This record gives sequence, structure tokens and C-alpha cells, in this order.
Amino acid sequence: MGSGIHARLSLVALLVTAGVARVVASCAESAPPAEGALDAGDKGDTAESGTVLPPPADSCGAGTWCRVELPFTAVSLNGIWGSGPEDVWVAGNPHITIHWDGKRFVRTTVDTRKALFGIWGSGKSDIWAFSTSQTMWHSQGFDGDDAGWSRSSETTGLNHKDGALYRDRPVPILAMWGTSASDVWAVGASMFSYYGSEEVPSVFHCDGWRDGEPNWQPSDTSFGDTPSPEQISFNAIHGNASSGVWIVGNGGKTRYSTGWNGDRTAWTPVNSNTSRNLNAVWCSPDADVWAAGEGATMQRFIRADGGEYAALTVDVPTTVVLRALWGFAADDVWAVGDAGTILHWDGKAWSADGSIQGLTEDLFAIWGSSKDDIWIAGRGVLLHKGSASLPREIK
Amino acid sequence: MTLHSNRSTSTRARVVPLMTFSSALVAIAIGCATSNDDLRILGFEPGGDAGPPPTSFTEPDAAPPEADTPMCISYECPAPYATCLDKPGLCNTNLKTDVDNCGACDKKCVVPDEGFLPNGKFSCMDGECYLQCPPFFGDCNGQLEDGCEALLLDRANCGSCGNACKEGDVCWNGACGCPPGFTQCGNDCTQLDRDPENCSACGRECTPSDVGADAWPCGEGVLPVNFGPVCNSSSCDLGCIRGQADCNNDLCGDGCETYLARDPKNCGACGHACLPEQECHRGKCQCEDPAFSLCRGYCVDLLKDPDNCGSCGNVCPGSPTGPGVPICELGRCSYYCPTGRADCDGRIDNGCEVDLMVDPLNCGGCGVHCDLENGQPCAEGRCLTKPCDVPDAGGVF
Repeated sequence: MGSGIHARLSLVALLVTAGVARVVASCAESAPPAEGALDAGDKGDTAESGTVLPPPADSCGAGTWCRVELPFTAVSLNGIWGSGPEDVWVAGNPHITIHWDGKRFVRTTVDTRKALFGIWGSGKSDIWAFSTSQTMWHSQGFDGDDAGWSRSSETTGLNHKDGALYRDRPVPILAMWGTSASDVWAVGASMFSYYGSEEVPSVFHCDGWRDGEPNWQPSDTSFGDTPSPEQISFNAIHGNASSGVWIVGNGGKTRYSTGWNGDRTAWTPVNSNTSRNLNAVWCSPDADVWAAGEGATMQRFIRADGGEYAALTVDVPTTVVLRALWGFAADDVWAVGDAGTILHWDGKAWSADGSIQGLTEDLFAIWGSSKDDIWIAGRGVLLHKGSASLPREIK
Repeated sequence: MTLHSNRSTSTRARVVPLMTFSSALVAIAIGCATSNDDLRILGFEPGGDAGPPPTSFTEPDAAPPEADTPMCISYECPAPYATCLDKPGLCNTNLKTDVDNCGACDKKCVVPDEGFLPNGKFSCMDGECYLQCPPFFGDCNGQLEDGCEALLLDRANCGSCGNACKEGDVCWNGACGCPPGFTQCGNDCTQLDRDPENCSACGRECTPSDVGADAWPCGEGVLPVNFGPVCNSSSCDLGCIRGQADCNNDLCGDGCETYLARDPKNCGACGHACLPEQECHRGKCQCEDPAFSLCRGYCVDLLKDPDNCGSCGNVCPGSPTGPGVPICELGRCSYYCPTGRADCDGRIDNGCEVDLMVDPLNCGGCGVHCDLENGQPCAEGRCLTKPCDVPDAGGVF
């Protein structure tokens, strides 16, 4: 990241970090020894003075944010997802995926020049790395050495309602989510078809990876008598049993649905109270929904008794662009964004987590299996927080 | 003001005296000396509570005053800053770079004509206007007001302003006359050895009747699909037409079924397959450089191209006309703010909306306020101050 190019980011970073107390200097230097959490080889030695020394430099300490050194600097880690603490996937550009099995990292190169915008799975044996609506990679699980990526054939898949293909303009897929291997959603950028002004859908559903590719069906999000594709780039999708499926996008556009119902799938528009681009959405188990985006926009959707959602703008201690959300409970939600921004919601207020010294990279993705196992990925950075001990470096 | 185009053929100079400060500013400066001497700032810190002071901006020439020197607000604009009336505040304009006040207040580099912007990119550098023309356009009349008005593909200005083609010569792709191997037929250049409409001579068109009975592979008078008259080595014959080929050796069945210009399995020739993620474009597997991808006919780097960021057609949002432009970093969209500009509101649709050099609300950094109540100007990214006037010890009290 050139200093000239990112003058705005660095300036903002200075402002943000100036008001944040630095609690921990770094993983390796100041992580307290966690009793029983480290293998014998990882335990700190006792110095003559009786103080306990930090763990060896090749291992991340437990319980604090830990930066995992990457084998390359020019990489953008755009997505992270896992089925559990011993099955975590990271995807990014240029053409890389990383798998963590609880003991070691394994790096896989995907044979493409297209961007991997993210990664998602329904379970340990159904993982998707996505680029465009017609270029995707699927894995049936990590076998210990290899991801076994299978590339979509790109010959069929997304069908136009008149039978033609959108092959000339495959939509960049920016986010995926689903409830199972046969209920899979994808959202992406708004585009026009190459040979005309026709709108190409940006919300899709499929019944899983079948015969070497997803059989996408467009889902029209407009409301009214004749639903049609809307000119909206949707950047994020998430859902749960209590909130349904939520999609958010540029211009603050927000929709939710009770789920896929074929051609009769209905989307309900929600006033997000912002016209700013929304980059992330997370559905809390208490039925609240959080959305975050540019200019530190943080919206909380609360359902009133009558069933209508109302959006509240919640203060956050930053002004940067927020990129991703994840959480574990109504009072335990995380947000990440540009210039090394990490925020936490404790049920009452958002606060900045500035415990990682020197963290200025833009952060794009966050996922965790529990509050004791949280991962963050970004431009040239991979972070972990939890009691598990990790290698400090991906070889 | 001197106006320049960066094309040597279209440079024209008009000299206008450079104004230094506006009369409004002079009046304000006088007011400063009489009414604001009590406005003191001790140990001036431009960042205040909002953040540290900027470190990358030009230091003043004069040695900084001692730390305990009382400082007062200064209303004197340091060159090249001036107070122009097209926007609020004092010292609000850098006369060296502002296209609306280039060299002097209200001296505009570009003036819309009935609402339409002239063709070309105008800029102000060192107080002078410059015009950059897009490909195949030029400022041939020397009038900056109408921008790059000339299309450089006609015979009067073929490739460059004033390059007129001689009588009878065509202007073809920006050059006079036809290149070697091509012959001028009318207003076009063609290859007489292979053009079925101009085979061996201009206007000599090949027809099926030009060939003998032994030239019909599927029986005389039978023309399979995409099979017909062609020009081979300046002689009329029958063959696959319009770039088609019979790659499955079934000419009398499905004819010339393969389009060699776009078929990735038969690109340019039967059996010549392209590599994965290559496409067949005009009979060539593209892109030949494995680091590039073919998008709408152009080889681009999907990791860097803001019009094809990460995938073909993924256009990075934000105004491309500045200040600031969308960029693509490692296949992800971002936005570039040039030095001195910033995106303080985090909205991409208005880009780098703040001029950190002159904005008293964001002076040197987002949220860095000058003394707004007393109208303290921001120039060169600093809230302007000067040592306070010290009362003359021998004065009358």
C-alpha cells in the first residue's frame, strides 16, 4: 500500500488510533502464558528471576489477537469461513486459498487470474470459493493435503429467462450464504448485459453444486406485481431462523425474505435510514440485524411488535469504511474495516479494539466458531484470537 | 494567464497578468491587525484533540518561533493561496492548481459552452492551463475554449493537426495513404490478393461463375454453409468464406462450420486450442501474457484494472474525473486520493471531497479544525498563525 495512494487511509488511521489505548504490544511479546493451552514444546520457560517468559517466537500466544505471518505481502485475503475450529478456510487474490485444520496451515493455489472475492460453505464437505456467477470452485472437504478444488464448467448455469445465457457478462459474486448444501444463495454486482441495456440479476439461488456447477436461478428483488432485476449491487447476505435471509448493498438498499420459494420468492424492502453503501450484514440470534458500510455506517434493525423493521443508526468510534460483521450473541458482535479497524459490540456500545500494535491494513472479513476462536482477514494480514496456539507463520 | 495544450501542435499562449491577492483579502488583512490581536494560540497544535499534526506538509521557510512565543491568527494568505469568491472562507484557493482560478481568481481553464463541456482534459499546473486531448482528437484551431475539437482521422488533419493528405490519398487509421501490402480502392485500403470484392484489382468481385466445374467439391452449383467465392493469391476460387473453416472434414455436410476468429478450440487454425482462461480473439489466443485476461477485446490485468477489477466488467465505483480516481488493488476496488485531498465523509460517490490544504474544517487531516469562530484560514494544510504583535514598551497606555 503506497503511502501516497492511501493518504486518506493513513490519515484516518492516525485519527482513529490516536484515541485508542494500546493494551497489548503484540502477540509474541506480551501474550500471557495460558495454562494448559499450549503443548509442552510451546510452554514458556521460567527465568532465573521466576518470571514466566513468553512462548517461543514460532508460535502464537493464546487469548490475544495474533498476527499470522504470511509468506507473501502482495495478497488480498477477501474471505474467511469455517465449519469449526479445526476446519477454517481463507480465500483471496491472487488465486490463493489457505486451510487451517487445527494444527497447520496448508496453502493452495487456484488456477485462475480472476479474483476470489470470498469463500463460504454449508459444512465440512461443501465449500465454495467464488469469483463470478459462472466461475466458481467447489471442494468436498480438505483431505489433509489438498482442497481438491473443482472448477465450474461455465457452459451452463445461470440461465436467462428466455433461454439465453448471461455468459457474456458473468456477474461478480461478492458474498454467499445458505442454510444447507441444497439451499445456497449468492449476491453480487449490478451489471448490464454486454449486448444491450438489459439488467443482469445480482441475486441468485441454487440447489447446490450439481454436475460440476451451480444451477443458478435469478431471484428478482423488486416488489410489486411484476418482479424484475433491480439495478442494485448487493454486497452481503446472511440469515438465520429468526430473521430470514437478509441482503444489503449499495445506496443502503436492504431486503429480506423468508427464504427461497422458487418464482414466488418474495423480498421485502427495508428502510435502512442510510443512502451509504452497506458492505456487511449479520443476523443476531435475538432477531436483531446489523448492517455496516462506508463512512463507518452502522445500522441496527429492530423488529417492532407489528413485524415492521426499524433501522437505528448506532454510533461507532471511527469514520472509516466498515467491511464485515460477525457475532456470537446479541451482546457479542464484531465489525472490521479499513485502516486496521476492529470494533466490538457488548450489548450497549461499540468500542474499538486497538490491542494489535501497528495494525493499519484494511480488513475485509471476519469469522469465528466461538468467542474463543475468531479470525480476521485483510490486505496482507491474517489475525486470530482464541485459546488455541497457532504457528506464527504460514510457510 | 497562459493557456497550454500538451500537444505541441496545438499550443497557444495568451498572457494575462497574474493577480496575487484579491481586494477582499486585503480588507480582511487590515481587519486582522486592528481587531484580533487578542486571539492568541499558545504552542500551536494544528491537530488539537482530533489527532496528531500532519507530518508530510511543507514546513514554513522561516524558523519556527520559540515554543512559548504567543501566536495569533494570521489572515495573510501565503503564496500561492488566495481568497477567491467562488467558495467560502479565506485563503481558499491554490492559484497554481485550481482549474477555476488558474493563476488568478475566476480565471477558468474550462468554460462550458451552452452547458456542454469541451472535449479534453483540462488542468492547471503552476498557474497555467493545460489541455490534454484523447486519442485521435486534437486542438487544431488553438482555441482552448472548444477543447480538442478536431478528429484526427480526416484528410485535413490526418493523425495530427495540419497533416493534410495529398490529393487522392485516403486518411486511413490516422495515416495518409495505404500501408505496404494494401491498395487504395475508393476511400478504403484493401489487400487485392485476398479480398473477394477486389480480387487482383479494385472493383473486381469474385462470383461462383468465375470458377470451373472442377472447383465445386460437392457438385457443380452446390454451395455448403459458409462456402462460396473467395480470392486466393489474386485469383477467384471457391472456399470457406468470412473466416470460417471446415475443421471436422465434413464440408458437404455442415459446410465450413467453424469460425476461426472466435473458437477457442480452433483459434486461427483447425485444432489450435487456447489455454484455460484464454479466449480466441480475432484468430489469436488471448491473452498471450499469462498475467492478463481478455475483457471486451482488450487484455487487462484483473488485479489492477479499475474497469475490470477481479473479473471482466466489474467497474470500481466512484467518479473517475477526480479529484481522486477509482483504483483496483489486488483485484479489489479502492479509491485513490491524490496528495492533499481526502475522503473525510467515507462516501465513495463524492470521492476525495476535501481539500486538506485549504479546508478549515479539515486542515491537514480529516476533522482537524482551525479556529472557526474567528475565521482562521487554512493554507498549505496548516491553520495560519503568526507571532502576536508585542506592544511597544515605550507606548502610551
